[in-house]
Amino acid sequence: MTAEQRFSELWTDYLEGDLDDAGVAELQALVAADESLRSRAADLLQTHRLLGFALQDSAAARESFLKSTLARVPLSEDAFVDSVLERVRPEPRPQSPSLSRWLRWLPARPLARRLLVAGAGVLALCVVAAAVFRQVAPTRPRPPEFFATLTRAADCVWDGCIRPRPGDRLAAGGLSLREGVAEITLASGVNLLVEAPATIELIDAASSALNAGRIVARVPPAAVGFSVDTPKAKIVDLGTEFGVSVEPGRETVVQVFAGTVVAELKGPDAPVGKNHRIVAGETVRIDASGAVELQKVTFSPERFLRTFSTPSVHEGEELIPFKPSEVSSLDVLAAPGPVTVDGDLSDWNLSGRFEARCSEPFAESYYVHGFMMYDRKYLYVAARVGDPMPMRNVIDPNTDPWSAWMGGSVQLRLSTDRAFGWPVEATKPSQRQGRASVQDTSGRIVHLTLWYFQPREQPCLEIRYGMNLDRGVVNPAGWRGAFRKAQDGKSYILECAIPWTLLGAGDDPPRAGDELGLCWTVNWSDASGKRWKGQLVEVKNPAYAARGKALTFMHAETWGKAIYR
Amino acid sequence: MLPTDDNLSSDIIRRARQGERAALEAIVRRYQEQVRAWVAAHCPPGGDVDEVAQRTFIAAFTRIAEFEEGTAFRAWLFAIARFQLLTETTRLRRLADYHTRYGRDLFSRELERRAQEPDETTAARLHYLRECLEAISEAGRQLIAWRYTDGLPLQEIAARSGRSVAAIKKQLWLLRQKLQQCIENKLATEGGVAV
Repeated sequence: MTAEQRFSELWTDYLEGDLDDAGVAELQALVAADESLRSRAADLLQTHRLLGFALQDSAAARESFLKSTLARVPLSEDAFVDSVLERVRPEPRPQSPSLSRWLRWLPARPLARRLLVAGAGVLALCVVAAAVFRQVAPTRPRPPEFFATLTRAADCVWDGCIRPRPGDRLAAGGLSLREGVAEITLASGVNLLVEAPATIELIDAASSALNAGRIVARVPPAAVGFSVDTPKAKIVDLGTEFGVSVEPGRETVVQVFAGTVVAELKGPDAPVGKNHRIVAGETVRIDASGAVELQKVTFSPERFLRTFSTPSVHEGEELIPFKPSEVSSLDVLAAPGPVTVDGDLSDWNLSGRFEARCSEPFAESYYVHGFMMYDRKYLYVAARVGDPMPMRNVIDPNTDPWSAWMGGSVQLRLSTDRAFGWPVEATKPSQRQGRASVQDTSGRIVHLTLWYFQPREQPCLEIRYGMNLDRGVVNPAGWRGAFRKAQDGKSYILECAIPWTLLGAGDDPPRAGDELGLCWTVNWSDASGKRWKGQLVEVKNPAYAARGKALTFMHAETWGKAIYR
Repeated sequence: MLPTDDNLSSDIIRRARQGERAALEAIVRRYQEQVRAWVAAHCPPGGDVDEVAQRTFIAAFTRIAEFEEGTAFRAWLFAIARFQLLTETTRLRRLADYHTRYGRDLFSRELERRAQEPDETTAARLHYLRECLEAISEAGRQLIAWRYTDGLPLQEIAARSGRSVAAIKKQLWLLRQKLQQCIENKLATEGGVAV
């Protein structure tokens, strides 16, 4: 074969995403040795890119680009911030000259001054109350003004006197969500995703207050200026998506996913009028101790729940695939010999398996057969997944791996530490009132997401560690994966080998007799390959088999059992 | 006829400075194809082309007060695009697993070098590419459409056309070569874009 022929083969595989590490090295060596070849390769790459651009260009694509660009544009850096803040800042209340004069005559001693002011305050309150009573009492109470709707709720348990259900309209007032996830849509178009436990106060269509818990706000351009009040800061949106959390100690964390927000700090020492801009990709912490500066912390996509993704039988009026768990354990078998990762399971011992189908009417098309094996070096995972739209995931592992599960995926959560026993007592740290436990942050608690990135025809793996899911790797060296679509186009086979070293157990992999935590989730997307359609969660602790008790990515005790044979 | 680019009127610049939405929209409409195509042609593998293009416009609008009237707006915009592309390239270089998938500096150095060349070349390449696509066979156009418009996997293209995946790969190689040669010929004989 000539160098030219070899180059054409390697180059074509490279463009199609089929080139393995050895092929990349060979191609690199070829182009490094020949400057004209390097130039030609770059020419061809540019033509390939322009082909993609030209053939996907359309009026709709241009409009979409235009709209999304303009939605991100502040009209002018300072003028824009000022104009938004102007709209949301309450009017300053000028002090009455007569009151100022009167205050000057108060005793200088603090205690006497406080008593006098308190007494005067009580008197003033009585006068005001009498006046208000006279004016208000005769009239009928005004009906509440509804400006929000509980649009979706998953596994919600409410505290307090307001316990809304999906579709209920909401007026100003407090809501206390003990469990679950709720989506509230304001009349302004603002969408709030509230993650329990949370206490939120709806003020009006342009503002809310978060006293505890977590919310993610999506603010459309028309509602720019929407604000979230927390005990430590007021967060003002400039057209964006952002998350706010108020931890039990009242520390506030703000994370911006898109666009920009402005944080106005509160507290006696906070500099008046000083605003802090927080842009997409940034996370800041506002200390509960009353510190007046923001502290930048690591951006962690998993810190907030951004998508309404928990199991639910209905999504709007549309049924989605789902089923309650029926399987509590899976036998993980010793591999019978070398395993070739190629999507062909003929070299597997398939006798340890679980099978699960979604409830009707999805049972025929949405199902999973799951298999696991192991040896000293690798954990092997295989699945046959019934999927009417298989292997369409278009979520790029380079740019958005944390969202990849939504485009169709298989996820495994597992413990690789026999010291943790079963059930695994690990929980997302924010769910605990106290400090995180050793298990909560352990590198031997792992979450795997496996998907097939269709645009590059690339098997992908993301691994996240601990229950905070804030550390992880994407397509790490050493793992192998293969996806194979069935001939009828209605299912796919996934096969992969993951070194124990990537699962925190390189020195001490599981062995026969171990019973460790394990849970499977299969996610299906719609035809777009990026919009989540439904899921099936299996291998669960029977105590949590029913929907609504707890979420598997937050509570490891919900996981079922992997029995290593 | 090649696309031309008159510079923006001072009126649009003035209105954009005042934050007038319609003026910003006019600027995006006018330059989005050129900026997106240029970024697509120079972005290293794995880069997010439209994100870089969007950041270019956003940076331009937030700094539009710094634009000197009387100078070429297009050149100013592309200077920003170059900077945004450099930022994206740097980001990708810092990704721990980037090199394992794309090979260290396989083409990015060459693309970076080309990014310093006149940006009009990309506009010309895109223009001639569209012309050259018209000149290839119906079957070839269908294959290109399956691959680039519909984004079908090669296996599916092979199944639709009743050929092997290897044959489809070879055909794609030949088509890309042919288009490349056609573009080069036109650049050599008809020249670049009039600006």
